[in-house]
Amino acid sequence: MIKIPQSVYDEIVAHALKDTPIEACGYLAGIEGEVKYAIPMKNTDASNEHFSFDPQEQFDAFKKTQKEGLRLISVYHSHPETPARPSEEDIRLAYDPNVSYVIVSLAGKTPDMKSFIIKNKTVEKEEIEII
Amino acid sequence: MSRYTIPEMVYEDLEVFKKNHAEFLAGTLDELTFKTMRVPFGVYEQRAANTFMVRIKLAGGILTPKQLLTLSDLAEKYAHEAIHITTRGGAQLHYVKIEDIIDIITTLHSIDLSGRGGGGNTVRNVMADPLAGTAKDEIFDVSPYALAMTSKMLEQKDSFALPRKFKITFSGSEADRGYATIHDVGFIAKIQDGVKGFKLFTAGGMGAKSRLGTLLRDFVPDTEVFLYSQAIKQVFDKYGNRKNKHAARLRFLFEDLGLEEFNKLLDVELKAVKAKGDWEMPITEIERDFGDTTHEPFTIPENIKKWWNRYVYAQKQEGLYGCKVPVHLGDIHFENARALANALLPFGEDVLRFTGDQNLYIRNLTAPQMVSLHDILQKFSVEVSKPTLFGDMVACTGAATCQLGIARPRGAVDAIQKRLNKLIDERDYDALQGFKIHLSGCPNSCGKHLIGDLGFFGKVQRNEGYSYPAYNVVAGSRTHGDGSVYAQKAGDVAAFHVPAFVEEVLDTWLLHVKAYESFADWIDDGGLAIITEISKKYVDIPSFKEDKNPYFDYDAVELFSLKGRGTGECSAGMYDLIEADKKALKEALEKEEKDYELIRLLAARMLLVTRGEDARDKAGVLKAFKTLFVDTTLLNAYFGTMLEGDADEKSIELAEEVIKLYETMDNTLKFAKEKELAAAATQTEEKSAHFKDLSGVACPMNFVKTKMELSKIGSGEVLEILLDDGAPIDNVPKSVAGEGHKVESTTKEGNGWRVRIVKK
Repeated sequence: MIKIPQSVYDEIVAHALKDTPIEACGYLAGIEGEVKYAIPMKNTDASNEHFSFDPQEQFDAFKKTQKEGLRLISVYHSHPETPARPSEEDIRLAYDPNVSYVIVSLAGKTPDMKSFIIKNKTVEKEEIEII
Repeated sequence: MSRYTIPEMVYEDLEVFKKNHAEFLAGTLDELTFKTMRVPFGVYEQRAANTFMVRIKLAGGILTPKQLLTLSDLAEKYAHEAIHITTRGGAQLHYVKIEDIIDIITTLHSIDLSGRGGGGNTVRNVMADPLAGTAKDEIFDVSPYALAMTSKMLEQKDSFALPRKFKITFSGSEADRGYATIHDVGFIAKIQDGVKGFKLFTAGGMGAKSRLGTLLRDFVPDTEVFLYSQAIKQVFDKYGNRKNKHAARLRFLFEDLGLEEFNKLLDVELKAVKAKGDWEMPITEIERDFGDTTHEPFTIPENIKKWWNRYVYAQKQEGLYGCKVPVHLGDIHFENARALANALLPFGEDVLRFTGDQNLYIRNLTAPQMVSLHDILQKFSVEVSKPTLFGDMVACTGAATCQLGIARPRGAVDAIQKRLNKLIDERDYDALQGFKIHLSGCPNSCGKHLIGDLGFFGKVQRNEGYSYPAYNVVAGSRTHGDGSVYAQKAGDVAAFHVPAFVEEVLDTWLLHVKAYESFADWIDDGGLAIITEISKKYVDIPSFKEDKNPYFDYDAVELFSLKGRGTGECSAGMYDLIEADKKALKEALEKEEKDYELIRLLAARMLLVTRGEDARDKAGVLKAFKTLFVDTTLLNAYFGTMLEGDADEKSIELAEEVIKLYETMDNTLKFAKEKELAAAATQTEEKSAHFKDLSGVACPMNFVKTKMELSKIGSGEVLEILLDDGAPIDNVPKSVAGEGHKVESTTKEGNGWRVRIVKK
């Protein structure tokens, strides 16, 4: 279960809509499964099928949250054209079993957000509670 | 004895196979030759390259707890941790590496199990009523016959090189739970004048051109069971169609011959088998040591009553119980299988059956023994704690792993269950005890959709030029020794809407369930029309722009396409597209308020795919139609005038002409008139090297265009084509080869491939 404040949810969706057709990506900072805020990042791949973070931005995000006593508890990204399911690449590149992977899909009539835990290349769905 | 005997010949064959396997790994044996060796050992390639599945014969679904323990070990070590129960009640190990095949087969042989004859053109796993030996309505226990038949058929050399697969089964009663009425050879137990024997059905089967079995003999004494099976097999072996694999099953031969002629040929073979001798099948009754079954009256604990009422049944033996265990999509995790096997070890050998509905049965336990298993079973799958409806959903593997799959029925089952799960407290699904939902990913019947209450088989549909997964819906089958009936066509639904459709059908059936003996009765009494009406709500999907989700199949991360499909399947996809437009066109023609624009568009588009054209917008369609059908004189020039400006009532005439034209099309995509034109043209055409650049052309258009090019050249001539990487090179050569042409070479050229084809 990951708890996401409504305002953060809206922010992720807005980020996804703004960046489409390329994939939007970022971190969710929080503690004990509860998200405090989103950290939108730059998709250095600038692609509608992939995303990569900028190492400097990653480092800054890590430092900032650590200072605040928070952690990067989730990686989020958008699927502008496909459903909110981790792609094979998403699974392959999900190196951290301790964070959740939030995907927001813009393929449908309304944005669709889902969260996943990916361990040893297997995907488990994680409930999202909007708070 | 709860096992069959593996004859010496199978061990000898394994030695040869080991050698082939080593040569294949060393690169000295080619892939195709190796394929012909491995398939009859039950080793099949899966859709993902270099992953294999191993089939394991379980005669009558019978296996002992010890055998299950070993299967658990194999699943843990080699097969992604799961044992899969097949729709013939056998077992499969999936995602196996080719290097491990020999270790697996050797281990199986050490526990008296074999995959020999698990695949290819062989005698397949012999089935039996899963309740055999325990059912109150059975005439006698047919399990020993399934075991003996397996041993005996494994001994026969001709069991492994038939024109096509050959399936045998046994039912213990007229309820036909072994599906004798839809098998190549099906027996239903019967006692006549005190003699044990069987009613014998033959030439039934599902799949392309499904056929219900014909009653061949009203009584065959049990001593002659092998005699008849072997003789029918010999008729099949001698006269079956070896040229066309799509028309090779026994039912096609039977249809060609008719009952009388078939019987004549059978008599010859019966004599031949008798003359050869050794046709009497020794039957060893299954030993059962039940111990003391007289217990104090036993009260079922309150907390497990629901489960007991749903899944446990009283056997014909006083004081003994059997239990159905629903297994989600037929997959048992090795840990669950191991726990069950260990728990069952103390109760003897005859305590387990795998079933053709991909579940399993536990049997021959007293009530307290059965209750003691409850906690272990709870871990088996989520369905164990739900109404039987959930466990009675059967799905083939579909496009996720099968090379022939169109849709992904396993994902659809998950989606249906998810949807129904939300309603479980509001609906009385227990009132639907025994309701079966069966799904196949394609018209082949691996998901046995024709014998479901509600059945689905996958197809491709199109919306505004985009393909999407969909299902044909069938409903209302019955199986009975006095006459089985397949499920009838009831409509079409988009894969995306299947869960909502199922929910509505079940809700509607719940309103009627008390008034009818069975779902099939309701279907016959107007239910079919109701389901057809319901399906109409679920056939259309939003435009691609509006919502892309329906264009992705369940669990798929790529847009739906026929990519990765096996032999000859490009053409299947193409016919689906034509049929979809034809159906829409016919519907448009039947409407009172006619939409002439739509009629003109559909008429113009319907046959474009046969010319390799897939224009998506209206202007493109009309233009292409004019170029390809009017300018080429396939249709009268008069129709050309209808393609400009607003459509009017003349569009109806156009539609009728197009449908007529389609009826004259043959398998090479040529129309009758075109052949006349071509005959005249070829006289002047030069015979030289033939080449077509099909790069940038998507599936199935590239296949259609290849076919068209091939149709222009003579037998033995060579056509070279250029194809893109990915789906085109994966599909087209297979489809071309599937039509009998020889694919001489495929060589990488730039970003694509050059394919050299010799016309048949």
